[in-house]
Amino acid sequence: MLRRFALALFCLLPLAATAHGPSRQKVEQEITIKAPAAKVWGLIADFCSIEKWHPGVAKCEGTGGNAVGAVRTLHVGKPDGPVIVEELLMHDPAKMSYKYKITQTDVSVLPVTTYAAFLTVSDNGDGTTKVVWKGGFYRSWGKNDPPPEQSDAAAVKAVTATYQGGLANIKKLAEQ
Amino acid sequence: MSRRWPTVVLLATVGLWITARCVAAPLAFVTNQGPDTVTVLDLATGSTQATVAVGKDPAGVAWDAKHQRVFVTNPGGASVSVIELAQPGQAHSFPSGKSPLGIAVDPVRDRVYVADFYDRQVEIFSTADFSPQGRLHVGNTPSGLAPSADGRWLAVANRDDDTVALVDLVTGETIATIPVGGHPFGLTLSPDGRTLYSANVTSNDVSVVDLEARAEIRRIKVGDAPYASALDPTRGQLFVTNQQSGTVSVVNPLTGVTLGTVTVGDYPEGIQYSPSLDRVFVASWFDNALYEINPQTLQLERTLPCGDGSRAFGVFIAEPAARPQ
Repeated sequence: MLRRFALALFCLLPLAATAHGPSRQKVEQEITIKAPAAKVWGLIADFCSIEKWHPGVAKCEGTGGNAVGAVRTLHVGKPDGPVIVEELLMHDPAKMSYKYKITQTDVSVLPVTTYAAFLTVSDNGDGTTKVVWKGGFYRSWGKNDPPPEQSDAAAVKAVTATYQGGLANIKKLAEQ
Repeated sequence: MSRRWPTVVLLATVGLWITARCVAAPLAFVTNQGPDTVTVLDLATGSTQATVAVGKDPAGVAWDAKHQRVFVTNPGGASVSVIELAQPGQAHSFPSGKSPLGIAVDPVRDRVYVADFYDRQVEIFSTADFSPQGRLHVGNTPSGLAPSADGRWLAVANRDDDTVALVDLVTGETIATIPVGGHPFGLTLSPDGRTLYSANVTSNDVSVVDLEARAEIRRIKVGDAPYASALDPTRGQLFVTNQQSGTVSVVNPLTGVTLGTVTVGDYPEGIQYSPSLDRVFVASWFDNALYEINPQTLQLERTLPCGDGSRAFGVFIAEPAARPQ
């Protein structure tokens, strides 16, 4: 009897083991824009310009300009909305690229941790421009068995939506 | 029956051929987090030998030279996959704790150690029949593992405690808890077993630990968010992957002097030195490839494509068996 119970338990193990361990997630999105690269870079080059081009960011308060270590505080949705704080890690106008990390997030809008991302503009050479936004991050839930809103899938979904929304609006503004 | 013969002969031939290849050249087993596979690469030719389906989000890897098999941790699937060298096209799996990550094979006993990241334990499984053999109680978020060559103890990086623990493998007791830099992750032992190196993710440095004194004796600054390291024992160079810099730092661990910085793909993770090829191999998680560095020139040589999210955290290179003189 005990043996049968043990066997049944063993068979259940793979089913019960639906937890997710620690794995960094990645999101990479790109868009092609019918506008010169310099124009596109001009729209997004300033670290705190995100309030002008990202539809989800209502307000940006920046310190330090575009120097490494510069900080931007984003208010999501409305001027007193949830706060995300980001720090500039690299800003290279020659390569039309910058890299930043999140130092503080609000899990209700972006359930991530240890997040860093690149935003890079490149000239396709045919009058069009490519913008790539790519980031690596962990889900905000640092234990086993995350609630659905703090799972890997939720983190990837939120970051993907952030990138897609931003890139679509950069295209719209640049092609005007 | 007659139609089956060619298949059987073909499989047997492929099996023999692969076995023969493995004696001649080192193989890399690179875990690919995205497609849940392991890329098996012949490092001499750079060709892909097989792409093996394993459990979910494979990360850690450990080559078991005695049994000629590879163990792979699947943090998303709460399991460990096994690839037999004789059958490199397929894997089988056994259940583990909920968050298996770091993994290492006992150099003496028929055992493999699996760090259970969120549950403060290292699980022990038989490398012969994969049965559970108990557990070691360790600190918070155990990550990298490094067993001593004589099998007396296991070094465990307790990431969130900022310590490295030495656990007695006979009694299971922690015999030393050594403070190191911020969030130690990958561990590397010197060939003489006297020194341990921990890559410290949040303090951006490598701790040099004297194992006789059981104390950190030096800290060497490297790039942003170091992950793991590999030692080139011939030249006494330590290679360290910097996740956020997309580089490999090359340092002299005795003096702390930086010898060079090699740019590789984004988020480099697992790294290992191959003595038979005299090359260092680095997996890049964001760029889905294995990069080859020449330790003499510190130049990047080949880039070998792998699957999405290449990690290779652990001993991922199977070296050819020593040839009789």
